[in-house]
Amino acid sequence: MDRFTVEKNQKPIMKKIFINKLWGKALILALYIGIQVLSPNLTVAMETNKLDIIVRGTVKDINALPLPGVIVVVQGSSVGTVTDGDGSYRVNAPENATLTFSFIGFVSQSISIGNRSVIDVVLEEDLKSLDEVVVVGFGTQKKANLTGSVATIGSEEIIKRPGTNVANLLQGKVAGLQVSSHSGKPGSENNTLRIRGLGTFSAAGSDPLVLINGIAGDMTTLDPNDVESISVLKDAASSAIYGARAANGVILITTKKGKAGEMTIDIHSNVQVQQATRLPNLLSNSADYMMYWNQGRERSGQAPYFTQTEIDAFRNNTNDPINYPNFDWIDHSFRTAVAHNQSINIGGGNEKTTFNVSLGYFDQPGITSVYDFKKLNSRVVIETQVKDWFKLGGDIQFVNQNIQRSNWDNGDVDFQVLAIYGAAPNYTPTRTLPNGSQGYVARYSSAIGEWTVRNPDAQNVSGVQTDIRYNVLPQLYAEIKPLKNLTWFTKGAINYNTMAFKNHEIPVDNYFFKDGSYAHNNATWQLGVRENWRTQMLSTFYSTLNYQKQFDGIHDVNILAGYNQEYNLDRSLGGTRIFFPTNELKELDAGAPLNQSTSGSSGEWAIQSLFMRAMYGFKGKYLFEANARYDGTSRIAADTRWGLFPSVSAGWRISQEPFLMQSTWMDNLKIRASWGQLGNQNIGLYPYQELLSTTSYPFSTNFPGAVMNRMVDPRLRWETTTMADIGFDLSIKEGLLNVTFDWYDKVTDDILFNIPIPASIGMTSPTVNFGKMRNRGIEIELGSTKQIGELTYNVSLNFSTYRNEVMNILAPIYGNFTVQEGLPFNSHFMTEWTGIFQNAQEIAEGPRHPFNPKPGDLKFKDQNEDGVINSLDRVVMDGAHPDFIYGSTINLAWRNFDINAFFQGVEGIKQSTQGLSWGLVPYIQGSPPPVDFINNMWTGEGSTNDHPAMYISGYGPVTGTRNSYWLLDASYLRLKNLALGYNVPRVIAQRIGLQNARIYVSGDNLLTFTKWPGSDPERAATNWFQAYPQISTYTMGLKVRL
Amino acid sequence: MNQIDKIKQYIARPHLLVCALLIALVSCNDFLEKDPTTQISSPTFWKTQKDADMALAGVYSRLNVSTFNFNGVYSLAIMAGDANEGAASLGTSSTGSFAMGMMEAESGGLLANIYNQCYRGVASCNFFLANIEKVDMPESVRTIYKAEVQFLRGLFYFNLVDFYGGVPLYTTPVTIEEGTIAKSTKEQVYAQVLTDLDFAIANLPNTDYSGRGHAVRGSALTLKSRVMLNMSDWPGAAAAAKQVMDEGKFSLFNNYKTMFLAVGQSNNPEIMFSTKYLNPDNSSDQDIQLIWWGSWNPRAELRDAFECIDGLPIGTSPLYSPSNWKLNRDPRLKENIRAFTDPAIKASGAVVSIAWNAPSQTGLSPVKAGNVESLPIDYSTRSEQDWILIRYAEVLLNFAEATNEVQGPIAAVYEAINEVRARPGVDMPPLPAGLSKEQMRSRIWNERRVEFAFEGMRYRDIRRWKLAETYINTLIEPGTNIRRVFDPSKHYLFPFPLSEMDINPNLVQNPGY
Repeated sequence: MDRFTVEKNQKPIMKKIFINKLWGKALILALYIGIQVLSPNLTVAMETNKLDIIVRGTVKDINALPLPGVIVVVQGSSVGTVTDGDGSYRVNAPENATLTFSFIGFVSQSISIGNRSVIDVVLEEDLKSLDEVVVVGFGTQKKANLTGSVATIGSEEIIKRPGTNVANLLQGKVAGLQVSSHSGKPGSENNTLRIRGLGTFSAAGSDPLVLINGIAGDMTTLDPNDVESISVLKDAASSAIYGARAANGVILITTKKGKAGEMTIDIHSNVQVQQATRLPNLLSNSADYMMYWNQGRERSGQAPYFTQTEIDAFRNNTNDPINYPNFDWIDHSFRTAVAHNQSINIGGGNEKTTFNVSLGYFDQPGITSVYDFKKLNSRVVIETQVKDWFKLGGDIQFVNQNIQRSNWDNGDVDFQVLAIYGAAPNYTPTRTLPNGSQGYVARYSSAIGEWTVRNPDAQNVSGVQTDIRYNVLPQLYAEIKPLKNLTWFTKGAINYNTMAFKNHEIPVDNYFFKDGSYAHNNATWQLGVRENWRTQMLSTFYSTLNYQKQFDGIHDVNILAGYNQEYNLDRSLGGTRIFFPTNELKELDAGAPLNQSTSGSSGEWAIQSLFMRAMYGFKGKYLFEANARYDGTSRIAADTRWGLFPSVSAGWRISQEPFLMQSTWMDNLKIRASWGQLGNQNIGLYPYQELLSTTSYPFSTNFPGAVMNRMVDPRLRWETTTMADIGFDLSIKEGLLNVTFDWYDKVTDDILFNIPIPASIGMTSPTVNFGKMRNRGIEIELGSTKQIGELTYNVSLNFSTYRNEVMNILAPIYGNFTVQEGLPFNSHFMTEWTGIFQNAQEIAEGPRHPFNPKPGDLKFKDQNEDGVINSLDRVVMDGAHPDFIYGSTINLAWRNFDINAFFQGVEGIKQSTQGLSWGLVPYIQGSPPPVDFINNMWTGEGSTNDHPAMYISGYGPVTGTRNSYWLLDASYLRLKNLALGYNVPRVIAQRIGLQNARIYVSGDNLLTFTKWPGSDPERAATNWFQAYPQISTYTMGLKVRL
Repeated sequence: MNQIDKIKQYIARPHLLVCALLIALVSCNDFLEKDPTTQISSPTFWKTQKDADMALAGVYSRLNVSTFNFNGVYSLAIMAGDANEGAASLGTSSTGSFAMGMMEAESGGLLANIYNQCYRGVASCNFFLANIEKVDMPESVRTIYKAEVQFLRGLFYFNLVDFYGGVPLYTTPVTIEEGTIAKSTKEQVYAQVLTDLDFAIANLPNTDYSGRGHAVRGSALTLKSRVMLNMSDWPGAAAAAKQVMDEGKFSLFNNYKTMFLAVGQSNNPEIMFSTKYLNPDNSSDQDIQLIWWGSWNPRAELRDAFECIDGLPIGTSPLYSPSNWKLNRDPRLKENIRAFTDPAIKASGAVVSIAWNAPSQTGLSPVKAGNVESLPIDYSTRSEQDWILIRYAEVLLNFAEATNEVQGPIAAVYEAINEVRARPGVDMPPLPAGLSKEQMRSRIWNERRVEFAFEGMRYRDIRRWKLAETYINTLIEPGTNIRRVFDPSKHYLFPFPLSEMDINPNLVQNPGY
């Protein structure tokens, strides 16, 4: 025991020291910045003491053309100048100083002055920007030679925002990639990623394939500090090499490797202050709350809950908050949380062997309740050149995530937030009981029948849900070069996950506010312990052979062939015990076996593939590429399980043609076109097999049984996506304007879908090859980078839009959403709401509405004018898919300061909120109505057409018919991030023993423009209105290299 | 390393790769052959009698749904006007709103559950009947199994035709293409129900039911008499009931209370068919809902339908005390209804208060089939009371009602109804002699109402008797002046669920929806 105590105590102390050291250095840095800001001429003045010579000269390029605008700086000072129109410059510099010449698009040069006074310089064009290497499937490629549509994001861009979820950080960064974050719940943000729209409507089908160093994985487990680059493969040409798994695009993530040379130690540390971005404004005046509830009940034909005396008592005793509270539960329940993130990265090596070790820790308390998230990442990377023809390497990733939630949290439903929105203002979290002790309040009184909303505070002490996950991902690879131009690369990897999910719930006595009488023991699902352990193991093996050669400097040939196989096994084991001797014991063994239960399951899939790629380039101008992949999957019957997925693409670098080579303004122009086919294997594990589920029936004793639950179509074929893409890349005047444009046409055929079948068939629907759907869209990325004096700016804008259209399907589907040929998939389908009935005459004279409406209820449009509102009057409403999504980044750098603003938005999407919407629907389980509703509801003839009269949840004339009153605009524009950074001048950094240092402050989710009421528009993708709010984060951070 | 060695290596390495590829591809078939680990593959099934046993249990397991247990059946008491929905309700799909006349195709809830659950049962029956011939088993056993399954199919289709009228009729497994047919007529569905029941009657063992859990001849005969009452085929209904009475395999149980609790259900001579439950694997939340949530609140009208112990209605009995409604009443009343504030009394005599989760809107709470021994109740409470679907009292009352319609109140009618009233522990006096046919009819109607309170019979009965609109429309919600609504132009049938209408273009919606 002692040993454990010591260790437990040590941890926080060590953490403290770690942080203190860092922040000590930050303080020193801050002082330096202060000095520099307050006296910008100070350093210059100090340097000028030694000024004694004037240096001048001209700067030309290799063609002897003068270069205007080259920045000439005396190293280690802020003294400098810019070359004029004929490339000449003149600068004052101390003797023995070094001049740095830099110009965008050219390699910078540093020249020691010595005793010279004239220094002419020839700058070489920096081909790196065009030679930039991009990670593609099973290899890398020069960006200039790409013929497919690939977007890349570098490490610096990713960690500009302080978040720790890589999926969040990708939001708004890539044209054509839509990232929606379902909530701000720590560790459970549940992002949805869509590349080029909803690709299919298969059950499990529109998530892109994410590969971490070539192995399928979960990007949310990564430490963003470990990421070297991210490539998003958007079109068929770039992703066809992943064949059957690439229909929704591929995201390739490469992590940092060590570099030969001096060892570097990078430390990144930040502290984040977090708050809810938006919260609903609900009625918190108790007298009004009670009065309106009575009104709503009366409208539903139910007896009032409160007497007038009771209501008056609340109205007249506002100075007695103990007995007559006007309690604001939202204000009470949400708080400011402080999170912090630490990471250290050590890299280095010699020419033969390099290594990189990193460790990251993130601690994020929730902004409400018992939510909490802790993440520990570590990674070890090593690579060694065993022989000149033989390279071996490997890395191992270890991630531990500890997520803690309210014990009745349930995925997207967020019951804890529901309870906060559902709590009424006329009681307080606790009250004094008749015996003088404090007890939790269940609700106002026993006369009120809303029985499932729990006191959020009582809920917080009734136990927690823990979700502990470990991920271990070791991989080992060998690269052999049997011939100069031939590379044989082989990798094997295991991605092993364990997930331990546990609910511990203890009884908490609750009392009625009104009289302190006992209400219930707060049990929500089940008292005791529920545990579920899951392990998942994905083993991957692939091997590629790559031949690459340039013939006569004209013909570039690159051929790759490979084999890949993957096998995945999922197993789970669960157990439940209910009766525990004390509330402190929370392991299953401590519980009694009475009514215990167990569960267990497993599932597996496998895929095998052969693939090849051939690239040919002629004089670096004409580029051709072809890919093919032949995939077999265990999820389809043997006869049809193999599929071939080909692609071809071509590019023409017009800027390399002689007639454009001389252009002084055009740096690069490339036209690309591609076509290809992709598959989608995420169709459930055994969709083609006719299966009997096991069950039981207790005739006299329990007897095993077997039932057929699901229809099956054994003739399933691969779902195939065919995509064409035409695009161009243009860059003008050394970064003044960069344009990437893509047009695409993506058609998914044989979409596997659980076709709705009549209930009279008596089974659940089969997966069938159901239909065909098209996404057609454009993506534009615009960028501009320029230096004006000491100011460098970099502005980029990405914009993408697509139109989704169902082309043909076996049969149309009508429901809350409709699937019809010619319409976007899952279009909103509902009765059109036209206003509010103002008087009885209007109801009598209009079409007959269901649920016998009264004045003040919703009025609908009789589309077919048959005099009755029914299902035939449902129409398609727009807003199922966004009109466009966009993002914009603005970077400004001045001297050592930089400022970075990032906007992101979605336009034209609508969400139906009809149904179980706490925080929107009045009095659903007692939930107070929104203030906006109270202010704008119907109160009598002619009052409004915006909102109906006060009603309560379940009132047929408002909630019974699915209608467009509930269809809300979820468009938004958000200032996702605004950051201000300062790079400490190297000379100063070195003085305190650092190679370089940067400090920054940053704010996330600072501004939101939206019409969405109440909670957050970003989370609109589920049918539940209430949600754990998105988080606004204010960060202060420090990055240093030792 | 000399040149030759190098060359050798160059040759060897690609060879290795090729070998690796070949090995991998050769083993393709195994590598990609993955079968489910927790389910049975159908093509390998239907071989031995053990398979047939499992398949039969599978068909029976379709009874473990709300339509065939307390949940859906108690809900029918709300529809019938014998109860109000408890305060737990949240939405428009609640039975309480249906009872107010707000029944629409999009409503869902009970209106969709009965449809979906019965058809799940029908599909299981059809799947069984289509495959049972493949099994190697004794012919006599096969015939009994088929008879059981046809009995169940009859039960499923009877519920469908009773609530929805004519429905799509399938007697073999359905393909997707066949799944969008028009509905058969009500008469055709009834004919199918009788065909199935007649096969069952002819082939099921003629034994008692309790303790076996499998349908027996008496189960099928009694269901047939119920079906024929629905069809107003009085002689047929009487004959089927009479056959059960004559064969003497069943009798009234001597404890009206424990018949509905697990403790009284083994070897119970009265139970003729039920949905079985057994802890821990096959359990229900019957006690949670009945004596904790308070999902159902009995109405005063039902309470007042119970006679006083002198056999007179409360309006005429001198024994009735308006200030204490429990005094001098038919003993069955306290086994069906308690005051909301009444404590529960355990078998040990301990008096325990019930921690109701919601107040009763009517001041009354249900008693029948709630096991007070399980108090205090929380979410871990599991119930294993079988839910009785058919019992011998119905045989007697079916016989009495049908015979009275044909022959008037002859002695056999008196005998049958008085037998029910004289159950040990109930001991209600016999009906007075000399009742007219109409008087007898209304006494039988009331006897059914109180004897079968909360057993789902009343809603079927008042529609069968065409009493629904005259009765339900007189009801006023407690504490308000709102009247209940039963629109005879539409509410005699439920609407087909909207989702079904959307999928099956050949299905014609019931009138008024």
